[in-house]
Amino acid sequence: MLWDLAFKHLWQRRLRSALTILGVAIILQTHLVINGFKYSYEQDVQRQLSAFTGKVLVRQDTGDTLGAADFSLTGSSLEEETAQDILALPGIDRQASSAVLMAPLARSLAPTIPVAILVVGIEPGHEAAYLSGFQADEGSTNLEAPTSAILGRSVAELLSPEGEEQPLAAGDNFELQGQTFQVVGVLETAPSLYNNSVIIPLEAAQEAFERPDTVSAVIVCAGQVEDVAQIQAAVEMGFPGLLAISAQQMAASVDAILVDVRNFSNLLTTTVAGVAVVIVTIVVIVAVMEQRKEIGTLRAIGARRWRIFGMVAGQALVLCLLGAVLALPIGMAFLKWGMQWEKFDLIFIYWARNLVWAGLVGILAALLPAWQAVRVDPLEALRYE
Amino acid sequence: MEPIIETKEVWKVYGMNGASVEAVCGIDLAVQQGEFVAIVGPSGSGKSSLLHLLGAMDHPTRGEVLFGNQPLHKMSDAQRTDLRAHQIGFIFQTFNLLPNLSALENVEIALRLGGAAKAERQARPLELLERVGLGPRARHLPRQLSGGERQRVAIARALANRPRLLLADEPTGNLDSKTGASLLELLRQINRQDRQTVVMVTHDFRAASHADRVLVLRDGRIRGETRLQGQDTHRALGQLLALEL
Repeated sequence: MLWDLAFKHLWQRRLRSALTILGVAIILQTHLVINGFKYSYEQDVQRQLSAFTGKVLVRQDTGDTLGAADFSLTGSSLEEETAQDILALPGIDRQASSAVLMAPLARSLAPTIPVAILVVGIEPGHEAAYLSGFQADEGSTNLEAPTSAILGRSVAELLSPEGEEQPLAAGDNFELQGQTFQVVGVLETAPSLYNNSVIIPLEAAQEAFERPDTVSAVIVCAGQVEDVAQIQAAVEMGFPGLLAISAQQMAASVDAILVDVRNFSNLLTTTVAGVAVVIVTIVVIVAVMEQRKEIGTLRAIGARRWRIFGMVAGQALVLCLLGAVLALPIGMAFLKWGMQWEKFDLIFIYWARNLVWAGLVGILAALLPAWQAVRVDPLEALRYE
Repeated sequence: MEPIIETKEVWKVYGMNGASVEAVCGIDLAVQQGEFVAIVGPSGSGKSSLLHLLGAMDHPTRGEVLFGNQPLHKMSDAQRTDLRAHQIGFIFQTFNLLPNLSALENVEIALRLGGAAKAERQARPLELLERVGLGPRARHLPRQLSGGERQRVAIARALANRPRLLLADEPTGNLDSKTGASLLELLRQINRQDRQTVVMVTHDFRAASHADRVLVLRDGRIRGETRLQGQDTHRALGQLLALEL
């Protein structure tokens, strides 16, 4: 191989090589970040889903396309009396079930992304219906007083008073819809739905959002797993206009959404890779034009075509692989300071894949210029004289 | 004795804007082992085209070129490439050194293309550069060398794989007369000491006077031939000028 020649040519044009590597790095870090977010989103949704295992979610049938995957339930509304009738059905673990009212305090950027702050009104003593085993890092998860509140990890930071660096903690007060609430507990780090939740007593939520005698849904926990189908049938028979969704149905709905998310992210990453291929191809074509005489000389003194191919491919590969290496710190910096993201273990997994991607980009980018290079006639090059 | 390289009624015709240009017209030539042959002629006489045919870099339109009795036109591109790597050394008018490689690396790369073993690739480049008087300049890049020094590196590179045939295309064309003369003396020395076969094309009769045999080429045809072996430069030049007239 003539890789040393490839490296020396790149070194000779240091500025151009550095700018190309930087360009490739910026492009590939986009690939890194998109994949990191996709993975993170999928994990979050799956964890959220597992919190609903063994439960039935009863909500209004709004014909919403998101259907069973809308965990925030903000588009659903039913009479509280109806909710109580449902909770009185046989086979239900009443302690672990509750009527809930959900209201967004800050909307999300897209339909499939959880709301930024979600207020959840829940019946005191039935907090487990919503919390599903997630514990408080500090304080408790009991909404004993009418103005008590449990905060998700992210909300505790978001609701801290301006100028305060510390997030809200147990015992602190905060304002919500003109009412003062006292924090009784801050949840451990959980899926984003919980991280973004302000959990208050149902009555307080109805008052704060002026929705008396109304709830969003009923979270029903079956006493026995085999009772789930029976409860679903009873709800659908006795309560027309309501949907009783099992965890399995939620999973199917979530999968459908995840397919769309994956397709979109694949489209983005393929586009990004295509841009990288075009950029590196242009740079290497220019390099081949500059090296035409050298390539001709090499052919004249006995370099076979595959060696020339390797030399040109080497240049494209070096540019892409160095770009992929540099994409890691750029991607991490972007995530850390731009998006306050901390899940860097995921980034390393995607970075390793990125290196493979970069290799493929390099090979694709090398094809056209390498083909041009191997066709250089030694005579044509010598006639440059 | 079997010639190293031989042409039989070889023609090279180029098509140019619908017209055809006959660069080489039915040349018969045989070069024996250890000979120093100069092909001399004015610009456009077809001498470079003939050299490219001898060097397996171009195909004849008609006729054939035999290298060690093997017809070049029957060889594949890879076989001709290998022949250039192992059996033929080239010296170009504009040196054609690789600009990003040092003198030493320029010689080493020829060894690499010729498939030389690592030990030889490490030892022989310096040995060759010392032979052409460039040992102390081995680590210099081509741009740090004078024209004469660059051409010496090119000679070392051409000799790297111990080729059977050394082809030189106007090797002194870009050098001043003094440097050119010392370079020709070096070529002559290599030819004599190693019995290295050399074919050189030049437009300069003074340069051609260093050869054993001189062919005068005009309009693609050999117009005259003379042997200069054993003659001093002054007499050789006189003989050549007579041939030209």
